[in-house]
Amino acid sequence: MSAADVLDAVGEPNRRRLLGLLHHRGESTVSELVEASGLRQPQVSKHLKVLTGAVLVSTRADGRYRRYRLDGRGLQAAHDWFGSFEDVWQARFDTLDELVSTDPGLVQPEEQLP
Amino acid sequence: MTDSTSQPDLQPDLATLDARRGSTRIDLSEDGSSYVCVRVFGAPPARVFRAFTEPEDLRVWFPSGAPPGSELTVCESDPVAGGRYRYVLVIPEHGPMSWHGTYTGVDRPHRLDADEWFVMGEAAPTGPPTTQTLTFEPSGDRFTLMTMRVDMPEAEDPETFMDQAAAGLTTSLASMDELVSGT
Repeated sequence: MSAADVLDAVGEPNRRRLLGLLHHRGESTVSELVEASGLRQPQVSKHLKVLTGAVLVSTRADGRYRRYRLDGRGLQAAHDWFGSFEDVWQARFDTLDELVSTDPGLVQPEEQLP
Repeated sequence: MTDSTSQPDLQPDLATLDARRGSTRIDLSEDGSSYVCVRVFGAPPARVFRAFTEPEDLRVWFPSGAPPGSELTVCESDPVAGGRYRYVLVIPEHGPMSWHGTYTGVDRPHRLDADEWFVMGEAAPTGPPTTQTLTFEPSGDRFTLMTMRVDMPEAEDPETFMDQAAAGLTTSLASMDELVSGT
């Protein structure tokens, strides 16, 4: 599992749809997801395998059923890899600030204190 | 600093701005459908506006914060009303992420409005855009107070919500986090 797996996993619309369904319905079996999504069973199983690989979904056996639910660990990996929302903007704007405030083309007026 | 009566009331005083420089504040709305980002920059609005709209400047700052080895392979921007922009950031071991935008209002150097679509990969954008409004307010003659407001399209059903969650990796991580941790 890697952050790249997570991004690939959420990059596909039907997989996002399954994540949405799991969020909405809570823990579900494959056949429940087939019915709710209108997708065919092989497709749902294939997508769930990718989502499970990215640890966005985890699974447990319950008698003869296998139940799927959302799992935050994959998301954590993506965070760790790309940085958090705020970190990314902070980094971008630090660079932007350095760029504009050190622009030699800018006429820097005398510093004035209020 | 004790007497700020000579400063126009509308302007935050310079000492406060100096203290706030370097810090990026982001407030995410409760339902996760919008956020506001505020930042002070050490140059007048005209210069900051340019940094947000000129490819030459965007190339310098936009890839910051991305994983090491990331490369901005496309950086186009035509900052006139109706003009387009597009950035493609290629991330090692993942591939391209694309931001497609249309400037819906350009009031240089005060305000910039845009519709934006984020796409993982290089496919054409689909679905409703996020709407963005940036304002640049001068403070003294050395500072700009930038406010960026981003509204995600209305998310009634979880499917759309997940689409949005995946839209713009940076916004996505915040809203997906909420989605997953709320379960």
